[in-house]
Order: sequence, then C-alpha cells, then structure tokens
Amino acid sequence: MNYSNVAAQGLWTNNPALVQLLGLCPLLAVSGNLVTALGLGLVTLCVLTAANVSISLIRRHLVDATRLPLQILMIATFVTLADLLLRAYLFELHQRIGLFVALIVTNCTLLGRAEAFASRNPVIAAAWDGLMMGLGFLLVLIVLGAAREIIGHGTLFAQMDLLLGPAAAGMEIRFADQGFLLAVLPPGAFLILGCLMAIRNALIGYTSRHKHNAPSANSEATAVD
Amino acid sequence: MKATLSLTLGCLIAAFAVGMTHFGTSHRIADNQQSYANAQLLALLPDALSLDAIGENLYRAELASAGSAYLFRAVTPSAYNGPVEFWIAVDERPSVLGLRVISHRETPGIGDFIDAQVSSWNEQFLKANLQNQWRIRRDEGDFDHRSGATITSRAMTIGVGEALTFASGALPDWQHDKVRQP
Repeated sequence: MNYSNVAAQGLWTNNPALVQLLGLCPLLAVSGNLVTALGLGLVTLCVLTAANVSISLIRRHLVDATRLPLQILMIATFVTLADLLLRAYLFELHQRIGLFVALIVTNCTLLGRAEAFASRNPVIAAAWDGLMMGLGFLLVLIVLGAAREIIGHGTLFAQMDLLLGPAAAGMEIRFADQGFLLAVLPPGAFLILGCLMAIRNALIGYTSRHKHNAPSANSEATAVD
Repeated sequence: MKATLSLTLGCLIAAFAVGMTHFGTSHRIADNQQSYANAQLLALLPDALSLDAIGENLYRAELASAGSAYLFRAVTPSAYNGPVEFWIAVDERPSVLGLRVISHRETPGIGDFIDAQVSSWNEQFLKANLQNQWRIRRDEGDFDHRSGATITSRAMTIGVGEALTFASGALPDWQHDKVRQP
C-alpha cells in the first residue's frame, strides 16, 4: 500500500470536492461561514474515517446482495451517533449545522470510499484513506467558507466560540460593515467553487507545461455524481 | 442465508450503538435544550426584578420601571423550514418588550437572522403594539424583511403579531391570576 499516493489522491489528484464533485449539497449549504464549514468538515472527516474502518473490518463477510445496504446502514449509524454527540457536547454549533449533519448520509463521498476503497483494503489503509479524503473535503470547505464569509459578510472567524468555546469569541476580524449578498446565496457558492476548480486546473496546466517543456492545454477529466 | 444473517446482525449492532449513545446523551441533550430556553428567557428582560411562573411556559415579571410584564412561549406559522418557536415579553398595553427565538430550522447563513445572536433584526419589533400593521413592508405592513429570506421574515412578523393579539385577549385573565394557556 502506497500511503503517499493515497494522501495525494485525497488531497489533490482525486479530491472529493474539487475533482469528484461529491457531497455538493452539504458543501455548498454550510460554507456561508467559516465556523459552520469547519464544523461540518470535521464531522464529515470523523464519520468518513469511522465508516471506512468499520467497513474494512467486515470486508470479508460482505455478500454481494447486501453489501450496499450494509454500508449505508453503517454510514447512517455513524452519522446518527455524530448528531447525538454534537447535540450533547456542542449544542450551540448543532443549532447552526444540525440540519446538514443528517445530510452527511447522502454525501456520496462516504459510500464512494466505502465501495471503492474500504471494502477492498486492510483496516489501516482504509483509515488513512478516510482521513485523507476527509481532509481534502475539509480543506475545500475551509477555503470556500472563508472566501464566502469575507465576501458575503465582510468578516472572518465570526462566532468561532460556537466551535472552540468562549475563549474564541474575540477572534472575529471585520473587513467591511456590509457584505456582497450574492456570495452568501447558493449561486455565489457555485461561482466560488467554480473559481477554485479553475485555479486547480490552471495550476495543473502550469506545472505540466513546465514539466514537459511544451505548452499543452491540460483539461482535467472530472466525474460528476 | 449468509446475506440475511449479515444484514440482521448489522442492523442489531447499529441499533445497539445508536440506542446506547442515545441512552448516554439524552440527559445532557435535554439539559442543553432546557438551559438554552432558560437562558433565552432571562435574556428577554434583563431589568426584571422578579420572575414567577404563573402557568406552563407563562411567567410574570415585575419591572423596575413599575408595572408587570408577561412572558410566554409562542410559535409562528410555518417559516421556510417549519415553525419557529420563541419567547415573547409583553407589557400591559400590550406592546412588545422582548423577543428571543428558542428553536428554528431556518437555513444557516440565510434564514437564521431571526436569532438574536446572529443579527439584531428582531429589535424592530420592540415597543410595537396592536396599532401596527403586522405585515412586512412589501405586504404593506410596518416591518422590514431581509432580502433573500422573505418567507422567514413574513412568518416571524405574522407570528409575533398573532402572539400580541393573543396576549391582549388573555391579559385581563393574567392580571387576575387566572391562567389562560398560550
């Protein structure tokens, strides 16, 4: 098992949000603020890793006829556990993102990783894959959340106390009194995600041109869920 | 046979895990919800001298500025993602003294401005009474709405107006210690 390759897949070459375009519903819905984006990204990371590990543990007992229902069942179980734990220990944050925690079940990244990786690989590799894919998703959420908060609200790190406790209440940085509403609304989320994908493609095009020393328009093939 | 067995076993384990976690956290969750509602209730009237329960979800407060205020729990008609539950404080005229949302399912970042921790939008209802037109300005009423969240604004405005209408009908009873439930 090539660990650095798995990491590169999750973070860059096969990033769930920028390349596979999976889990767009929660991705776009919670990225209006950095704090909610960070919160849901962390929950997704934990659920994805836990689901990958447990599916890898039972991979020899999976039967074709019931493999998919069992995987969905396990993912749904971990999401429910995460929802209950958030309610119990991060109640204020849950009031903001609670609606979308339940939607993690429908995030295709989870079933995709379970099916494509966890059910065919040993436990440690599956855990590593879950961590890296989750981290790739989380990083995109952070960039998207920060960009939308700055443009849409004119602030950054607002209400971080929801996630980090009362000590973080003063972290808010205010750039402007009024934001540009479009960035907060769903179309703005699509536009900024599109910009991120364009930047990624431009970077790949730039590096590959320099590698081969010949100009070539490198268009990345993307899969849509 | 193996398929049935594995699915059954999986369901049992999942049900057990969820059940145990629910058992372990339900107390804490109920406490959180209760203390959140209580904190919102206290934040409603910071200058109240006393607060006595005179019914379920119904309180009387003595004010420093003489007179009594009544606090009760009310629910709006359906907003964007269902009803919004809130505490409202009214004086004896009645006019609105305070408003705090306890629970809602509005879209984070778009419809959650009704929460006093997110924005001060609710403050436009303070001191408003039944002489006001309890509709948003777009519907020829007296209150501002948030662009991008007209449905939430409309539901909240109508809900507060209805709570006030109810209070004006129930005030004589409350003043004579007869409880009429919201």
